[in-house]
Amino acid sequence: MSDDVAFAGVAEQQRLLARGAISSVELTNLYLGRLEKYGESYGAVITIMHDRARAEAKRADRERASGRVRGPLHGIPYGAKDMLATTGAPTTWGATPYRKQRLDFDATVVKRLNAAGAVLLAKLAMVELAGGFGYNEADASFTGPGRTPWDRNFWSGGSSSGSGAALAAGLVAFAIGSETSGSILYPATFCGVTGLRPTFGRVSRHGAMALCWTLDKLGPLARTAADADVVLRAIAGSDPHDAAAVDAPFPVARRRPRLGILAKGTRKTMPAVKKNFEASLRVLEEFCDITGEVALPDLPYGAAVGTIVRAEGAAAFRELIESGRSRELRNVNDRTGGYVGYATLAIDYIDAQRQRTLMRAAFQEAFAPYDAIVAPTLSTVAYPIGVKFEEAYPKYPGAADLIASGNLTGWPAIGIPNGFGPSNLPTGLSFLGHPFAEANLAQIARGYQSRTDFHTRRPTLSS
Amino acid sequence: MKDRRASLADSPSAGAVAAAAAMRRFDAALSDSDVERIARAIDDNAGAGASLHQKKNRLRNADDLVLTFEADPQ
Repeated sequence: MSDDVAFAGVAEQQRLLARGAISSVELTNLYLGRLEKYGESYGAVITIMHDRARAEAKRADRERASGRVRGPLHGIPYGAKDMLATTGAPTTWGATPYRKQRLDFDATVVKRLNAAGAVLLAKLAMVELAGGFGYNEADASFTGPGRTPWDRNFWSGGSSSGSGAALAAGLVAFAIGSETSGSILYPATFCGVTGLRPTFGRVSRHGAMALCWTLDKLGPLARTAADADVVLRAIAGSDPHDAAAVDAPFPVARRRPRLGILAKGTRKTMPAVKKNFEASLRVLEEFCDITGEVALPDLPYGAAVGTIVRAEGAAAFRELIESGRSRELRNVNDRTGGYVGYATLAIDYIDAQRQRTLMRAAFQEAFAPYDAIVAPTLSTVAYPIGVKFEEAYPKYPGAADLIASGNLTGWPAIGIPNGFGPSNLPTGLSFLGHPFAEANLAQIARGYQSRTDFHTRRPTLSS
Repeated sequence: MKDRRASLADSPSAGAVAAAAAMRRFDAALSDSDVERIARAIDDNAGAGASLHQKKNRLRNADDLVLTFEADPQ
């Protein structure tokens, strides 16, 4: 079987499965071989689940042969960030103190994908504790840094570092990641794939490592916006084990989408980021009404998200902090970051949460006229490995982005590749939408991807 | 904690150093440089805390917080 199939995407793979050109077992074996060959060298994988994957693939083929096809993910192999509990493998949270942790149940997301007929291939690498202790360089997981398949000397982004790298390298058909503030959109951008951060509450977190109860979200990374939409629909919905998870429809606007451009979104960005964004706008104009710039309401997003992550993260890992085992973490900042969070003032945490009330109201008012706000996802391409983040591209800190603000308000976003920059590394474009309007965002991103081919480009790999 | 207007380039504040040193109850092996790193970060966070209550976006007495967070304020 050609390796091309590994990069075909969910929809095309489903067509091949449906007409019998391939079986789920063959597809699974292809990916298992690629995970063995490339998974470690890209810092993408923690545990390859050969037995479970083959058993699930056999079941999918058996059901298909008997006329039962569960849906568009039937027989499609995927990987899960190793923050998700699964039977049959450790759940390490990317961190040495938890390397032997076994949570012998399946997270709700894993259960739902199983019910949809998908095949779990592997537990994918991640930044230790999803980055909650303040890591400041790529080497922050017991498996080492995630490496973007576009150039192994550069980071794959975090904290869903393995989800991005594995997908871009063709080691899985799609992946599940998580985002507290940026952990889906960073790897999607640095690895040149599509990342969909759902609305807060769209997807149950039961069985996922908690970092911040009021910010954590699970969502897909996929080759296309259409694939991400399919995966999100499979994992969405209420869950008695997660009080925040709700059932909500997937409305799609029938009119021509109205986009606002984030003001200052290209200021202090790399020239390639600006150039690619401007080219993207010309593509979007073909099928969207772009009605000018809109300013991000002036509120303390960075301070609020930092305070909440520190406080809730310290509570989530209080046992680890008080045990002194933080010193076993990989990143130097992480070894002491829990203590910093432990010292967060309660008054600051409460005021950060009060600010979110104002932020939600300000977003509703500022962005009401638009279906989506469009901006470069990040101000730069991937950071070089071995360099502290703040020292990677000090000339291009960016002036405005939608990551902290979008996470604090709980609004969904989709990030897609829109070109390349220095070292032939991908740049990203993102759309922020109203709560529970993910299908709208996916439709806009599909419109862009139907007119461009950045999402179909493949890196040259080295094992 | 440090006066929030003070330069972060200074030595960490005495209050932050005391709070940081108190973390040795969890890990007696924390070095002096670890304690200083923690103390500096505590001072940085004091600055973040101050920015949550600046004049231009000052919270008023009645501004509530969300205890069960939802994305949609409707």
